[in-house]
Amino acid sequence: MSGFFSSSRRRYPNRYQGSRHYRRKGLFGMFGSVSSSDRGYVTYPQQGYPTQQYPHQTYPQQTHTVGGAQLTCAKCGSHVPNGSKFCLSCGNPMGAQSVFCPNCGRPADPAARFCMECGAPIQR
Amino acid sequence: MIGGRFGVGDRIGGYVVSSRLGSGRYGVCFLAEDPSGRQVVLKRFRRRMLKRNAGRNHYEAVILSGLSHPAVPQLLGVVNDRTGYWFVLELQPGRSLKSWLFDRHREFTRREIVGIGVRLFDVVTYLHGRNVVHGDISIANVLYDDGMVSLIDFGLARYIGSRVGEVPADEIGLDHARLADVLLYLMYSCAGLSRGNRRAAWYDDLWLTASQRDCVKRLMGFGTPYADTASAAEDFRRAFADWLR
Repeated sequence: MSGFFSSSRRRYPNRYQGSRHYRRKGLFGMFGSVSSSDRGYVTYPQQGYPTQQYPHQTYPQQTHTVGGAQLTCAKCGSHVPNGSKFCLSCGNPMGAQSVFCPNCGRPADPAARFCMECGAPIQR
Repeated sequence: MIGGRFGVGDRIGGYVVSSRLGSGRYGVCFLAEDPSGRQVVLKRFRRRMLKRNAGRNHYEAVILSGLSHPAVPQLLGVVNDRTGYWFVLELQPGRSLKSWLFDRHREFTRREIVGIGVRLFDVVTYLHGRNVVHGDISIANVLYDDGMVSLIDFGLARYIGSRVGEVPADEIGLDHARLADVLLYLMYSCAGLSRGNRRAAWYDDLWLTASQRDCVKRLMGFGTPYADTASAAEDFRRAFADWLR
């Protein structure tokens, strides 16, 4: 329901509900229909590297990334947010480049020795 | 594929579709098999949702990449081709609590409710310990199978922090409140737990001890919130211990 409720405050449940609410299916049946007009192609703009395998496939440009940094996919050259196990453009596994801080759990730069968030050493 | 819709036997990036599981705001999920016969979930994103949420769609992939818990589905792959944009996810066992309650009309016992609560607290404690807020805990996103509980749909999950795209630490209260909401659904399915007062709020309608009521009220946001999920879990276990006898 993220497209409907823009603020997380609205996703808090009503605290005063009773049996009329909890014994009904509620709003679950109202949302979620898939549009038949969806064609499927999605685009991920390349940062200076042409997409070799899927010339018409692009993924919407990320306005910000988790962890504040990006990697580069060795297969298609797309920027991949730190931590992602797969390139979000071509699906290529990122392997050892998917690194997370063992202490705080946040994605880490695979070249870093210490977590930029909590300072814990990144174990290898 | 017929009329733009996917069906049994369709091939998506090496996977063969077995059946349709369901749909949501993000798109649609299918059950499929990989070349070795392992069953997986293919989650296809609606193109409109991808465009609308540009800049936010990668959270689920990154967050799932960093989690390892039996109740959380592993991210197994990403497919981006002419068929669409898909996540390949580990198949978690069971059906949703929503399906158990409203399709199967299942009545959960007190013991089962506590069991589900304990397991939900276990996975949510793990998430918060990894600085992840799920953000969308609901009976539709909790799977139950003979005592096993899974938490799915990390589409609204976010890291706790102060950067753009992250959420403040007190956002764990959202997961607490929604977890309590799940428990209330289960309690209302349990025969004899409700006084039958249709106009009353749950805290005046359910047969709960004072400590049980206080625990759920606190989770729902009344009074002082729990400082952390481990404390909430411990309070829950203590308050509902007699439901296990």
